[in-house]
Amino acid sequence: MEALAFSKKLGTFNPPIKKADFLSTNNDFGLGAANEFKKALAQQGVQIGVGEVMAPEATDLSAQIAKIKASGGDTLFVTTGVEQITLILKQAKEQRLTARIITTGGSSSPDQLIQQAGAAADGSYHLLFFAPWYPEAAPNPDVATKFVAEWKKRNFDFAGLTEGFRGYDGIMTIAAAIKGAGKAEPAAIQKALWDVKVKGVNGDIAFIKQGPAGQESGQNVPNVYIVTVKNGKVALP
Amino acid sequence: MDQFLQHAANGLILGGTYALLGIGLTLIFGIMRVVNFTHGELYTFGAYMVFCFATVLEVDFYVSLAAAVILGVVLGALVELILLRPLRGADIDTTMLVMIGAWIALQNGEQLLWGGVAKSVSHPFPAEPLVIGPVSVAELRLFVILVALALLVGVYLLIHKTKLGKAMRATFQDRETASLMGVNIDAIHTATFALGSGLAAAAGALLGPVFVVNPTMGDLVALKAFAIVILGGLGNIVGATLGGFILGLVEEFGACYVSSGYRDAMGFLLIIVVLFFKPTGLFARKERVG
Amino acid sequence: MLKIEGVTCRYGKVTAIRDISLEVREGELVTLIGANGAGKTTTLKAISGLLPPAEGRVVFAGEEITRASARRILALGIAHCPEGRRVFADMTVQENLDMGCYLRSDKAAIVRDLDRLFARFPKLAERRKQIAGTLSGGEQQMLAIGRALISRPKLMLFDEPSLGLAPTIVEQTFAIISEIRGEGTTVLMVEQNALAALRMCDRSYLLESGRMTQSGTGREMIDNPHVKQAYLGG
Ligand SMILES: Nc1ncnc2c1ncn2[C@@H]1O[C@H](COP(=O)(O)OP(=O)(O)OP(=O)(O)O)[C@@H](O)[C@H]1O
Ligand SMILES: [Mg+2]
Repeated sequence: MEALAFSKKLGTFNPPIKKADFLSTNNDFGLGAANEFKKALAQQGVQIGVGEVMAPEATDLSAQIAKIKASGGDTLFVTTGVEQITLILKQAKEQRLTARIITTGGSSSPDQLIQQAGAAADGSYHLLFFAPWYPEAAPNPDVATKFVAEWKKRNFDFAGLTEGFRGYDGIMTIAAAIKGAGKAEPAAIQKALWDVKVKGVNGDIAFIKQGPAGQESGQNVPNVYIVTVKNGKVALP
Repeated sequence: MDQFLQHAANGLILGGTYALLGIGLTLIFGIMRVVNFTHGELYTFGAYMVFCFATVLEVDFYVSLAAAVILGVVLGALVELILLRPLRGADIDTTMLVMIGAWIALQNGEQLLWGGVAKSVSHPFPAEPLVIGPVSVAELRLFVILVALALLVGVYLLIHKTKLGKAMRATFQDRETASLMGVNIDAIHTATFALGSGLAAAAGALLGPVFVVNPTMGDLVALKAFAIVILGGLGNIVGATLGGFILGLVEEFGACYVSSGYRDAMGFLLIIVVLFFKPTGLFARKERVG
Repeated sequence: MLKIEGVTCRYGKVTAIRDISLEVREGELVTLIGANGAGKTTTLKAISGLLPPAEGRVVFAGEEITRASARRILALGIAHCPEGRRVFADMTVQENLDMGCYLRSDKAAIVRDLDRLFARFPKLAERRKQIAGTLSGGEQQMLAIGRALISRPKLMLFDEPSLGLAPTIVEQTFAIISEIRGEGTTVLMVEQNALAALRMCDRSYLLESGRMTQSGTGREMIDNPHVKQAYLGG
């Protein structure tokens, strides 16, 4: 879903993405994302280079980076947690990897990256489901602005916003489903979820059915935001 | 070819730090025969100490490194004095359980003290790498490997050429006879454990700035250290050094030419193969007895 | 010089020697004989501090050393050449000898003593750099003796120096021990080879099942009917 939403925003990048390499954690989260992006990008005519993987706790990624450098793509898609992204940014710099780095999965917390990776974070791009620096740019600016204001009022850590909105959107969605069901019974709530329409921080939330009939999973097309780091600050590209 | 050279450089640098971890553990596990589960924690401790001095207290980087190593030696000595000395002569199960407990306690202590979020350590080296032909190497990594090599040579000389080193080897070959030579066995145990711990802390202090620092950073590293010690033959300093370099190169080239997904498994695969054909490790001396 | 009074030693609950008393006077060569498991090794360990006695007293050169550490006892001048040679197998000949000098710091004198030692044991001189574990049994015994000797002891304890050696080497070993005694070092030697031990000694003690049962000069012991019957083959 994230990949699909992203592929509609390829025009953001100049020079355009022609050949993409991938580096992801060796688990469902990483491999799944890499596969989705490969599919979506190939459909847009982007050439696919190497797909490297790493253990989630690995710290030295020099071998993977050397291989990616040799592949010669112009863009590297990275899917992992923020700690490993820090390591990748630093080590890519060490090996003079010139490819543009785009992180996916929404877990990249750019503020934390800037703090941890320093100058190495400059020029990297991050796909987020919420860009708290620019709540007014969200599809539901009133919801987003109010959420950020409340977050600040309660003195929570600003860096937590990029993830924290998920809990808020999730609870609002469930609340709407319970209201729609009219009673607190699991089967009824589950059924009501299909009809939910919520104005969330990320955007409008509604579920579409995906998968074999009778056992579909509910998927929501999320909004994605692309932010970049310029001179040690989060910026819009 | 360019890629090959870059991989070779990466593998050698990685191998040097593995070697440092390996010789620290080979002293404790290979020579003292203590299954030291705290080795990874001393590595973590060294990294946090350099973070604490260099980044939090803004002490000079090199002074911070030295302080981290010295504190690692002290922590190692305390672990030996408080936990291991009363257990001298106890069976291996008891010692192992106590060391597992120490590992968990230390790791959680670090979590409590520093939190779970990874930290970056500030250092005086430029982010831009040194470029030598087709190979780029970060100056920090170059510094790390040079210090690691110096420490490796230093430890080798300490063990083989000094009175203390000879007493250590004598003690762990034959404790009773060593005490007949006038060796203070208790002091040797403490000194050996402290030295091994100091080397783990040194590895952590050197690598902390290269990577990031977090409470569980020592787990995988400790596992690899055990692999290196077994690879090199228990208690064999030269073996552990070569084992470290071999593991670094195998991981690097394995990740490139086989699959990066198995990078961390590569070392353990190597051990299985080595143990299958040479159960005493690659570099074990034949006449080794007792 | 050395006096043991009423010493009892235990390994856990097992009593290995009970109420042992013996004396070694300056310049003497005293032997301790007995069957396997009689407690000979244990007695030496009680003297050198490896197994502090549960009861009794050990006095050396006027100082009580009953509970002293092995290090202290060595420093006072008792060297213990253990049963089975126990050379440090992974270390070189030179390193083994270095361990013998562990408590010494008089560098110049050590060099002189090493030269003397190598003159006495030319085989060791040739093999200085060799790993001790690869030496022959006889060479290992020479090394073990050299390693004890280089600490410059006043009293040397030998535990079965003939163990596992070919007859000619055994003879050589006893000759060396006599020589060492001749140079003024007092010797207390444990031997299973009773006849040889009794012939070369001044006095001897017989240990049986952890107790001291007989003692006397070498001649007296050889003539003693019990000793003769049980240990000298009738
Ligand atoms: N470490 C030990 N633990 C328990 N019992 C021991 C130990 N060492 C010796 N013993 C016991 O103490 C007794 C005396 O042993 P010791 O070694 O002193 O005999 P020994 O006269 O030297 O015999 P050998 O001639 O075989 O060397 C024996 O019964 C032996 O089994
Ligand atoms: Mg014996």
